[in-house]
This record gives sequence, structure tokens and C-alpha cells, in this order.
Amino acid sequence: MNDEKVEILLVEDNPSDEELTLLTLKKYKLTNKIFVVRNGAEALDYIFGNGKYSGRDTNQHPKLILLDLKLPKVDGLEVLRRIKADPNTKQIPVVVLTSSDQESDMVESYKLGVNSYIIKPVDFKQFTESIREIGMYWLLLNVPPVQK
Amino acid sequence: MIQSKELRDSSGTIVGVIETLEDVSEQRQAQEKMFRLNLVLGTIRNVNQLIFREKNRDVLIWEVCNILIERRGYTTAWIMLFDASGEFLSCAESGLRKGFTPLLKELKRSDFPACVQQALEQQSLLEITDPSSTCSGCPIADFYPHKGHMATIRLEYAGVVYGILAISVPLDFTVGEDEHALLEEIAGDIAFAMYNIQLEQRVIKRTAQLETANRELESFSYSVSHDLRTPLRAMSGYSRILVEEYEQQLPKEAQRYLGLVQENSHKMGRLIDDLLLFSCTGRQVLRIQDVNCVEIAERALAELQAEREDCEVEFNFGNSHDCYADPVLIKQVFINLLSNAFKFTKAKKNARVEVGSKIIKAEMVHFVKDNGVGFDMQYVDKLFSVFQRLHSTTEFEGTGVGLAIAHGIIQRHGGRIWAEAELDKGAIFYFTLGAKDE
Repeated sequence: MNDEKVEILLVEDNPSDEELTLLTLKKYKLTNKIFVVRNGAEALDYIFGNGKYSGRDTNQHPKLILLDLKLPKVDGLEVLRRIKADPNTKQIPVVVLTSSDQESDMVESYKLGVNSYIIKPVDFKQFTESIREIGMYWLLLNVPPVQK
Repeated sequence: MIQSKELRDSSGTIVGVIETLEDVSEQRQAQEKMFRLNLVLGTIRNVNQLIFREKNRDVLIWEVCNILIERRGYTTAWIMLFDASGEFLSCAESGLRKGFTPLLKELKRSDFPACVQQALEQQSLLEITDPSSTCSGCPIADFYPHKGHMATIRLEYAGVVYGILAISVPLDFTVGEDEHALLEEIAGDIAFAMYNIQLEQRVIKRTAQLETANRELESFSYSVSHDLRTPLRAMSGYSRILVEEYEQQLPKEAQRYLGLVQENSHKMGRLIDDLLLFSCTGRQVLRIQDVNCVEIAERALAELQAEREDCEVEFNFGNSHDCYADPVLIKQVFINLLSNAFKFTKAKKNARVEVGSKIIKAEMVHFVKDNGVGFDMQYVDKLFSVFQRLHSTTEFEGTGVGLAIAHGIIQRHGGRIWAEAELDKGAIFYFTLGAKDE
């Protein structure tokens, strides 16, 4: 995928959740410019242009990062911490989209500066509704900072 | 006491001496006894103060040895502690020659000096009045600066022997009754301190074990909440997509089956949520405080507006507003009981729920009463167990966790929960909360 077009970076290790999220975003015609990474380490590589993403123009930010918390290698909270600690990436909106309703995860995410915390509903109808609302808000309604 | 006076003649020449002999030994003895008692009592006081503040076993026994030498004037003092199997645990000394404690550490129980072996067998103080002969050949005798009077006593509290205390005194020191009392007292005090330190260590160890168990349980419920929900979402999602996208191609029966898949994954989602709530309320730290139970019940009711429908709710708390409980958890109890009441009155025409409290046999009892379908009292025992249901899910929705949660919360408050019901007439759930001082 052409890097410059990425609107959503989806960090998700579960293939079903990934597919259902993509299906929903496409169904509501919100975007198909989605880039998927399947673990925390790859997410960091993509965001900071390291590893197999070295050379990527890291000034090109996605409009939104959808971040799962329970991820292989580097967990979501650590990814969030690194994004929000770097002046170049901290303005990227990050929405945590997780199955975890643990209060500690929620509190920690907000402390680290997450822009939204959404618990994935088990019910698919509610799930698609959440994804639709997230997409509507962050891709269409929200105005991101002007990119360098 | 001897007093002398010269005897002179008229010219002043000394012609003789008058000697007066006065027996003051009794008075001096009394003074000495007083002095000695002061030292003895001072020593005991110092040891007790030490035991009170010092919780480190090794520091404590070392300091006791120092006190006995500095405060009471003994020549040497040493303490050896044993573990539960009777083997060497720790030791401390004061006044003995260099190399003494390393030697003690090396000693096997069978190699203990005879005086130690004997003192361990008897309750009272063991005295060695003539160490120069008694102790010849003893491996530890050479570490003593001189062969003064010695005494050994076991450290015993509540039938457990924790170790041994041994002292020696200067050559001119008389070991009398006071010394016996002092050493017996101090031996008991040290043993008591060891008992407490062990108890404290057991508490610390147990607490650590509990914390580990709690952490494990937490990560378990974290896994449950995360890992069980994800496949469920996929089941619910794909079956729904099938119905939505391929409706035309699917026979009616196939659509019904897919509907059942969705319905059941929805139900399992609720089960997971309820189970998590159940395990969570069992582990949460109780934050017990004075709360107004009317306010709590009102807040619980506010959260249940959707379930309430047109059920009439009456509050009947009278003057008994105050209870002593964790407000969050007690609200959960009201929520679960009220939610049940609404559920089981749904089919009734004049659905009515009463929430309140009253004094029954001098005890404040809270209750939630409904005029719903009730239940057969012969099944009352099953009511509060997790996953036990008295109605089928087709009749009334539910996972069978709500009352188990309420039961768990009330139990943690030191209270009781019970129910009375009559089929088709209604049910009444009562609960009490533990007394404030519990």
C-alpha cells in the first residue's frame, strides 16, 4: 500500500477482529486506506520508520491509529507510551480498541494520553456500530493538525 | 560497724580506747538487696523495651546479651536459637573470646555441651557452680575469660523451646534467688519475642502467598475477559454477516440456525461479564463506611429504569437510613435484588416492589419484596449458588450469577442473606450487614 495514503493504522493481532473491522469500515465507505500491523513491535517500526519500514516518510501520519492492547512482542500500552512520548508522533490520534474492560488498562491508557478508549462489544451489531462511529468521528468530523 | 573513742585522764593523756561495735550487716544487706533488685528490674525493663521495638531476630538476641553484661554486670552472655527441627538457627554473644559464634554455628545438636543438653531438658535454671571441674573438656569452655559461676536456661514459650540462654558471672558475684528470677523472666521474654517474630513472619509469608494468588486470579480474569470475548465476537460477527450478505441464498432453517448462533454468543458474552463481576466483587478491597442505604437504593433504582417498566416501587426505610457498608458493593446488591424483582414481576398486572428495612429481633434487616412469580421454598438452598436457576431461560432471562454475587458481597460484610417466597405470590429477599465493630 502506498504509504502516503494511509488513513488508519490498525494494530490488531487477531485475524477475525481485523477482518471484521475492515469489513465494517469498508461497508460504511469510511475508508479503505487502512494499513494493518499485527504486533506492537511492527507498529513501532511502522510509526518510527525502523526495521522493514526504514525509509518510510515518518512525517506522513495516519489520521488515526486503532490500537489493541494485548499484542504479541510489544504490548499496546507500550506502543501508546512511545507514540505519546515522541514530539513528532504525539499528535497522532490514538484510539485504544480492546476487549479489556480492566480499569487499570483504562486508567493507564488515559494517563499515557490516549484520545479514546473503546471496549470492543462482543455483539457484532454493537461492534460494527462502534467502528462506524469511530470512523465517522476521527476520519470525517475531526480536523487533524496540518502535516509538515 | 566499729567506732573508736580515746579515753584520756585529766591531763589529757590517752589512757585507753573505747571501742563500740555495732552490728549493721542487716541494714547493709538490705541496701545491697535494694541495689541488686534495682539492677535486676532495670535489666528486665531494658530487655522488654528492646523486645517491643526490635523486630529483627538476630539484632534482638545480640542486644539482649549486651544488656545482660552492661546493665546487670555479667561476664558473658550468649543465646543460641534452634529451628523447628531442633537444628542451629542463629546465635549471638557478648563477652566471650573471639571465634565463639563461628564454633557454635558448626556444632551439631549431638555435640552441644552437656550443660546445654541438660538445660534443654529442664524447665528451671541450670547452675554450674564449679566450672573449673564441670566444664573441663567442654569445647566451648576455652572461650570464657575466667571460670566464674555459670547458668543456662532454655527459652520456652507456650510449650515451644526456641533456644538457650547461657551466662557467666564475675568471680565475686553471688547467683541468688534474684538472679534465678531475672534469668527465668528474661528467658521467657526472649521466647515470647521469638514466638511473635515467627508469627509475624508467618503473617508476612501468608500475605505474600495471598497476594500472589490474587495476582494470578487477576491475570486469569484478564485473560478470560480478553481471550474469551474475541472468538465470541468472531462467531457473532460472521454469523451475522452470513445472514445479512447471503440472505437470498440461505434457506429459512439455515437463517434460524444462524440466529441461534448469534443468540447464544450473545448469552455467552453476558455470562462472561457476570462471571467477571462475580470474581471481581470477591476480590475487591472492602471500603466500608457509614452510608445512607436509602440513597444507595435510589441510585440502584435509577440504573434500572429500563428494566423497571411500569412496576410500582415503594421505599419503606422508616428511620433506619444508616448502615455501615461498602457503598459500591451494597449498591450492586440492591441492583441485583431489584433487577430480579422487576424480572419476576414482569408478567404481573399490578407489579409492585417494596424496598426497605426493619428491625427483626433487635437486628436491622434490609429487604426487597415483590409480588412476582415467586418460587418453591423447597429449592431455596440453591438460590444463592452460582449458575443455579429456579426458572428456565425461556421463561426468564438470566445467567444465575446475580444472587451469588449478592450473597458473596453480604458474606464479605459479615452479614446474612436469605429469602422467603410463595409460588405465584411473590418473593422477599432479606439481608443484614455486619455490625460496625466487626
